[in-house]
Amino acid sequence: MSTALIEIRGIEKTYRMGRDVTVQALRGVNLAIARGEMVAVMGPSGSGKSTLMNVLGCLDVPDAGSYRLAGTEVRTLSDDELAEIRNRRIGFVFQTFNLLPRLNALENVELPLVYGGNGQDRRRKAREALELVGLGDRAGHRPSEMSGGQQQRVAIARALMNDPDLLLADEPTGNLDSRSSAEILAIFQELNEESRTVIMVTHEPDVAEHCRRVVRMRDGVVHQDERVLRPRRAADEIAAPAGALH
Amino acid sequence: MRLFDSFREGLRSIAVNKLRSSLTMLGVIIGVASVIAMVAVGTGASQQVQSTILSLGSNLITVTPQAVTQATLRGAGPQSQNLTLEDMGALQRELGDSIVAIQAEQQAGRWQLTASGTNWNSQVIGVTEQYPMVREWALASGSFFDESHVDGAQLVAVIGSTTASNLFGENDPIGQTMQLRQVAGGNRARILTFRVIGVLEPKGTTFGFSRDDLVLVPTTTAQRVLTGRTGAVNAIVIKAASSEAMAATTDLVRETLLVRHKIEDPESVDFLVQNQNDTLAALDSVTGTFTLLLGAIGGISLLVGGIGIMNIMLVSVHERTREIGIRKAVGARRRDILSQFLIEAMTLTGTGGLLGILLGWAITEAVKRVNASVPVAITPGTVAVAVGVSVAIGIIFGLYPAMRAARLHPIEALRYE
Repeated sequence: MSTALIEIRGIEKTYRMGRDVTVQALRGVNLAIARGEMVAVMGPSGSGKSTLMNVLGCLDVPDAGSYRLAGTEVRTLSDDELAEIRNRRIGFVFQTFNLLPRLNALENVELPLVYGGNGQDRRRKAREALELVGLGDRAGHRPSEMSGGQQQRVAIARALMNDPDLLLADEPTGNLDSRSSAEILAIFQELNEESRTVIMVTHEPDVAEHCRRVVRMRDGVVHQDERVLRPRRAADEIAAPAGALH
Repeated sequence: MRLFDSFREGLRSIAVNKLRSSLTMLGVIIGVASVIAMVAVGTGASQQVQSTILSLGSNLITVTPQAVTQATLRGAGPQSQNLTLEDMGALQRELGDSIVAIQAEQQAGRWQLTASGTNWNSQVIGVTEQYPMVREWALASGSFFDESHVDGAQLVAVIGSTTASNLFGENDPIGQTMQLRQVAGGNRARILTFRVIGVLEPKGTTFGFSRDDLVLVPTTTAQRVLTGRTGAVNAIVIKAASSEAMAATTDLVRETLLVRHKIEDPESVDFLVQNQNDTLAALDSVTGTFTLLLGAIGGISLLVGGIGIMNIMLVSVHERTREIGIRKAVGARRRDILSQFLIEAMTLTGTGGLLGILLGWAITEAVKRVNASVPVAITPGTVAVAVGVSVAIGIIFGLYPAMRAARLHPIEALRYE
């Protein structure tokens, strides 16, 4: 057994668009990501980075190849087994936050515990997660009553709920101003320093520079895979220290 | 996902779209209310028919003369002379103690009554001495006539409570006399003086007619003095020992009369034996059909309400595609999504069902207030069926939208704008 959290070999994925147009989004991707890494996945649109993200997040299964997440082969799992993996092993952060508009921050954060884990002290755990991202005082607010940065922090708190192996962020700063972006990146970096694995899809070099490894996709394959020698520290870039974490 | 969470989600989404939810529910409310109200009317009518028939006395077997068709000649039916007091006597001997009571009736038509200057008009019926037992009709005062009154064709009468109060007012009618007069042919009036010996207990009205306005006289008196139809009776009424004994008693009555009337071909009988049980069963099936029909009309509106539920649930699933995607991304399984939407639909229809019961009850109460003669009856069974059906409609019409929601692919759902 290798120590890799993610092991991908020869993954292919083809989408049907309409009646007889097919798009081969992934054409044999190989990738290994160890626990505790912070990886940026970059690439122009159509390069397959979003599809790779969906496969990594177990939202979609590849047509061919092998994907082992923490030693489990994912490709052959049923829908419900995939749902359980998403629930327990993966935390998602989306560009558009994807919070449920009718629930307040606390209830949004609670959501993964509604579908998994025991129901006990759901409230307490959700409150702790909210406090961790600096939003302890916003528990009763609805998403529409919060700024984009705050919403994204709620989303991060939600992603942390079941103590996942993997944090997956899809353009997490795409809808945020630069200050909020820095705050969000600072949170991700801090989480990574606590040895959580973070994978971030982005097309902004600025964002990628905060990661320790950058994987570039092109035409459905990994085109380039390099280490970042000195990642930028987002916490230093926030003009006035916001104390987002503590 | 715990059931409680599903319920909370269901209630929340109903609360968010208050107007839409209440309009959708209205369909179910009206449907359930109309089932309740319609079936209440049907059940009420059925109960009324049944109690009317039973109020004439229970376990009754009625023998009436029957028209006889021989070759091309057709007999006179109820007017014919083929059922007599002697037939009753023979049945009495034959049936003996196996029956509770027996009596023979002869209608004597309407007569003008006069007593101490007061006039009244009543139906006069000739009956025999066991009438109170057969009809389960006790006397309020005085006594009924006995065998000797019947044998002697005496001019005695037992009168209904309405007749008594109209003729005698506050005075005690027992022992008083009254005159019966009928305009016979030409201008000659016949006047007969009867002595009142008893007053019947009040029975109230059925189908709007008072049952307490009548004069009972001995059958023989009705035959010989009032109608001149000596010997013939309109009906022989037998009260069987029990409901179970009715079939056997009916057979025995038929055989006895066949022998007495010397009829060999059972096809050409000159009498008709009617069993009250059969009558009840026949009426039951009629009112049952009636109730079913009314229920079906209500059921159609309930069905329409159910389709409304399905429609709104489909819209709701469509609108919340993204929500479903988010829920799936954080680990909701198919059955979590399915149960969420099913419970939402069931909450809609269940609440609608309960409100519908209230509305249905209010409608039946209103009907009672407005017109007390319309019989209505809500039975626990009706309520149970209405609630069960409305929840079932939630399941049936909620299942398809919920399945569509559960089957959504997480990525497509998340991408949905």
